[in-house]
Amino acid sequence: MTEEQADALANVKATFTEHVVDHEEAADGGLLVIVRQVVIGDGWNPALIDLAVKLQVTFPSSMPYPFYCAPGLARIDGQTFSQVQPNVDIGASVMRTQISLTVQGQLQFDTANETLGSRFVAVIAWLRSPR
Amino acid sequence: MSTTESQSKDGEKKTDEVSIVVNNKPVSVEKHTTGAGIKSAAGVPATFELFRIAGKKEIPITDEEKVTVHEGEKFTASPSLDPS
Repeated sequence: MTEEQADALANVKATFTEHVVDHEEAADGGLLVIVRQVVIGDGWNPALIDLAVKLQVTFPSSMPYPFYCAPGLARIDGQTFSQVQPNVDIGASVMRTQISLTVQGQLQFDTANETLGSRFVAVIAWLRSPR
Repeated sequence: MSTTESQSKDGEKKTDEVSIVVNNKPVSVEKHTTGAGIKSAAGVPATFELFRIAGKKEIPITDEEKVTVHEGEKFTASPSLDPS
């Protein structure tokens, strides 16, 4: 993994000290960072997810985007959000829920002001109060 | 003098400060502050959303919200997310 990916992974671990944080290195140089057992609220089925994002080898020039969890994430009241696609083929017929949240107009990750840990928190906050 | 203030040797009034962590960086802030005060002290954009990390919970804090912070407490700040 690149130095920037390693720093981002360490940052997520430091932010989520009460969670298990895993990672998987991909053959293309990408790094999948996974925060386990995140509570996103009773409005979702399931209410507990493993939230992941793949950092490209070009990170932070490329954004930490999109986020993923297990396939089939849905609101219990049937409401849908364009940001949450419950069944997306991410390659090799692997299905995931894709969570498409980013910062409007931002072309690369703003490491001067933001961290990967804080981005995870923002995604979790959105899931708890989707809009 | 309030309980949050102390007098330094040279007579300068000094407010009690504690060291917290914002986006994994140490930041010194007044013990009794606001969400906006924490963001200002951390040097993050005022438009960012602030969260207190409390165990497995991430609690949103508004700009106006009065907050009593404790040594070593963790916060994150991040821009508002939009659909892509």
